[in-house]
Amino acid sequence: MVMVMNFIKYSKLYFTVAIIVVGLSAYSLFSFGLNLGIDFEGGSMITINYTSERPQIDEIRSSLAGVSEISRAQIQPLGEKEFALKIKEKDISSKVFSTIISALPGEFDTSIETISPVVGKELKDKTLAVVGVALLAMLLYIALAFNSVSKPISSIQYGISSTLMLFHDLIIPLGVLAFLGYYYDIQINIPIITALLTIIGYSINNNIVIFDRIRENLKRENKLSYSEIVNKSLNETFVRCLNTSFTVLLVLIPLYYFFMNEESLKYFTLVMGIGIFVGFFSSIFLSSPLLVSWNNYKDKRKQL
Amino acid sequence: MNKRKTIFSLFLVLILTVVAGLFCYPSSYNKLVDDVNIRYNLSIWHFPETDFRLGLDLKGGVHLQYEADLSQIDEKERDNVMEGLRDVIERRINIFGVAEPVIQIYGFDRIAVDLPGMESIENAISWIGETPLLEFAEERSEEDIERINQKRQELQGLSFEEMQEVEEWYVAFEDFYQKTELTGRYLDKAQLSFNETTYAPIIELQFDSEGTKLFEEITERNTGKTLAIYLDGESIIEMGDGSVYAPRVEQKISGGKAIITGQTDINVAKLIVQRLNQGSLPVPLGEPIVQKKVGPTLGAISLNNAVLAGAYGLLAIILFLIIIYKLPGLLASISLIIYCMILLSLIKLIPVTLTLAGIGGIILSVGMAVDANILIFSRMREELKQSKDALLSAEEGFNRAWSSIRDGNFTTLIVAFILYFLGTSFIKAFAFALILGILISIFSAMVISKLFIQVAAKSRLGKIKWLWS
Repeated sequence: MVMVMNFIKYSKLYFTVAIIVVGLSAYSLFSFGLNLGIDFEGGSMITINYTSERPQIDEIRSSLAGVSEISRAQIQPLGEKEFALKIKEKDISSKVFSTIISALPGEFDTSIETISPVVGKELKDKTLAVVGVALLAMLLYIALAFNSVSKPISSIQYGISSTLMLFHDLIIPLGVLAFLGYYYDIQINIPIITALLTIIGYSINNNIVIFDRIRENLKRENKLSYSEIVNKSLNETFVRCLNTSFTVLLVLIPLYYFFMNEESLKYFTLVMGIGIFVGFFSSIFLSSPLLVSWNNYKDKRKQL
Repeated sequence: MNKRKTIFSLFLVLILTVVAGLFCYPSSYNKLVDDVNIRYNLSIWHFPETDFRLGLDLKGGVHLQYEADLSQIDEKERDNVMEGLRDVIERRINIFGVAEPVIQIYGFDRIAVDLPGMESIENAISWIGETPLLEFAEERSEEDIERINQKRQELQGLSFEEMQEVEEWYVAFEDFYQKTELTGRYLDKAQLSFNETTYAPIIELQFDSEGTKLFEEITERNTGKTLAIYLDGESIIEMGDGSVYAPRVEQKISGGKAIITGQTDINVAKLIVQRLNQGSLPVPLGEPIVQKKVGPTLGAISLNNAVLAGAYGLLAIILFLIIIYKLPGLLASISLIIYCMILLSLIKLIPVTLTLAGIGGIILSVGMAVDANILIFSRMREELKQSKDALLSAEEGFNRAWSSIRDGNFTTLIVAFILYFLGTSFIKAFAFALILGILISIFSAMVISKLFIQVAAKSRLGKIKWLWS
């Protein structure tokens, strides 16, 4: 049984959906902004993990009322035994920490993090710069690797298309994060950045697998049009892309389950999940159809 | 491949697997060896039981970052001052006995300190925060030295309780040197130069005006004797025999400039200069710019969960591969398990400090390893559909999947290398695990999986069609 799907036929529909979703994400991103955690903004966070049950939040709040340095702190319960105390954009001294810890009732284990705003800003700038350089290097590599197939469209176009897809795959989770950050105060921390880096990795890989197939089919099939070759390649790689994305989800499910109580890693898996899903969509329905539309547009202009 | 070569390769893979497996999990093997050794009176070799090196986020401990105020320091001297500062912190921490501290200079004026297992941020800061104390000490009078030596002889062979019975027992524990007024406060700087003819290293000291006066007095009354130099109450360098570093004073020195000769090892001379400068140029450290503390139970929870999540994730992948790809899926699962064992044993051997970020990198690389196998099998199936036999399909599958495996892994590697060389410590850990994982995953897919599948395709199993499609 050979089932052939036509991935190109409805590409206008896919493009429209993608533009709407990307537009919404961009809107969310620009109107809410990213809620950066203390890793990037500076600030302090204490996580208190009780050996048995956690006291009521009200009780905790009243026992901390005497510590004037943290009057603006936010108290957030985590699971049944933990809570976090967050102070934004301010690093507090170790003496204040001791005061807080001795003021709290009950028996517990603590984790403390305090980062000066200068260091946070530095990390933010550096992370952006590093990701920028990495993306540029990837674009160059694809342009070089596909140098042998410069017809009918040039190898740099493969590079541009995969970079656009990367943009698509990143902006959607970022839009979701901006929304979550605004309404649920979910902050972007280093694990979430790792998830975004991982998404970049998979996005590149997906596109390369499909482009590689197009490259191969272009050399073997002389009778087919570019659009037919792309569609054939998509049919041949569809199952692989589906299976690969599915296996990643298989790993993410236990990860989510075991880190449900840990805010930082819970959102790591959520972001990864979204990224893998939109990455699958973009690699099949957007990146190669985009190349076809590009080629068609060029042909039309030639005819005029 | 001929038969003998195949058997040899399989044998190599088996050895690799056993060795890697034992590195990952040596305890039960060692127990077995113990039993056998006792029963048959043998002495079979044990496998080293090293633990994984865990980062602070998994083990608990204190992490601090400092910014040194270098505004008063000459630009050429800055690297030296930073090295010196790291050295000071290291010595301090060693005095208090923290296991496996990591102290690193990063950027040009930052120092990061990791103290695994440490519970109190406050203590850590107060240990590190003090400025080092450089002291010059002169020999005690001969009677004093005689007295100390006598007491030491008296106390020889006694237990600590018995010692305390002896009159003036504490005299035995005194140094042969007594502190002078001269401290690091009066030292302007120290630097290294070389004798113009012999090229032997010379240590030059420059005192400030008050120090010049003090030094003149001290050298005057100690001409011909030695002058000991202490840093934080200990000899400025280890002398090996437990004595104190103490150059001899040749003459009275006025003018505040002194030189120390006779140190032939240039590295030792350099170290002395560095440490003299630590005592003279206390670079204020101030409050740390980053403080982190992870409680030991929180760390342990993270690690347990990561291990469990990894195990279930692997199990799910294996089931998926076997259900979808049948026999090749089963073989790939075996090579995937071998892959995990090699990766884990390398992490132990290098050793790589495992952090949550590193675990993220490992998960991505496992994903890439599975992806390589899926690519190959998808290709194999296409070939099988054109009714080629299993062996031929396998060959084609591997050959034709190679270009996408290569390009996919290569671009990821490029990104990982850039992240590794430019990134901050967290991103570095992610990138390193990813690089390691990708390199092994290419090996496991293109060598181990390939070997298994070739062997299976050649055997009788190769004829049973449904196992392959």
